[in-house]
Amino acid sequence: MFLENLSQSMIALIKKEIRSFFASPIGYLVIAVFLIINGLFLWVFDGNFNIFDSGFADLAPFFELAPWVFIFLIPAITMRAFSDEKRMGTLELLLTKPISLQQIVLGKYFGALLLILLALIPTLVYIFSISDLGNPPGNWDSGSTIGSYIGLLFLGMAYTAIGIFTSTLTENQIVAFIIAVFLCFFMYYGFEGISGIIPALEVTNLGMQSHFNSVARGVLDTRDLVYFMSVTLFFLVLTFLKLKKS
Amino acid sequence: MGQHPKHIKILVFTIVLLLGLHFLSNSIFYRFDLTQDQRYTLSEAAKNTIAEADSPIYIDVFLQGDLPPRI
Repeated sequence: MFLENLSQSMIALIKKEIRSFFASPIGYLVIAVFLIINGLFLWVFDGNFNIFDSGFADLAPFFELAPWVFIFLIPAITMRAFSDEKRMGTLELLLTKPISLQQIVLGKYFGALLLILLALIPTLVYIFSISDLGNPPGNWDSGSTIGSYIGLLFLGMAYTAIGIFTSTLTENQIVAFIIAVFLCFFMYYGFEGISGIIPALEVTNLGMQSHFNSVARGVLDTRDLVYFMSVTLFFLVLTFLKLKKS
Repeated sequence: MGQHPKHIKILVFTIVLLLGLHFLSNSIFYRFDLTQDQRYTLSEAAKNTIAEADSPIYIDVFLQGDLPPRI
């Protein structure tokens, strides 16, 4: 009975988050920008990501591009999670409600994650295009595509946790956004860059890119999934501690 | 931070837990190769060949013709 009440208040918080995304232009903007950028780079603009130019009917360019788009979009979703509540002074109000701190953090987290899922769903249309473009038509690798989507989901989970954490650091949304973009970029590409400059360090495996590329090929490795869940858990615990301290 | 020893305790506990999880997941792991043609899994025949070889194997690949630009 007690547990039931707890999860109910968490679901209420998630619903409130989703409602606030779609009450302001943020929700629509994020989904539209994500789809426009992906659509243009994959199907219209010439370049590395163009699927027609690549000569293969597969979604590999999409899974190469999406992490970079997410680096900017996910912080934009999460930047107001706690910074807005702090600025408006509603955080104290939220803390007095019969809902535990863990549930507040998880409610905010899953609210943002749900919006990212909503942005990903329309990209399933690309699979139909790929399937039709194949020779013979209908000849696409379903297994590796499902694996890549799972990889993207895990990457989104880690980015969201980073974004939620940085929104607790400041009252200013812009500051939260910029710190989150930097942290996401560093976690995704930073270690790759460091080991490019100093190859002896071999820190590539600390970064998200090597783990994401491994999953995006279509190989689900438990080590990569554990890595993404560890990053997510670590930043959620940091969020919890930061809120508890204040 | 000094006046919050409990927070540091939680943080240290989390880090230790995650490091433990990391080493555990590195020793016990499983790969699910979801690609249709098992592109990233060594076949039995390949494993047998490697087991018999006692010097490094060099593989030369020659490609010719109208290839897609990503190769």
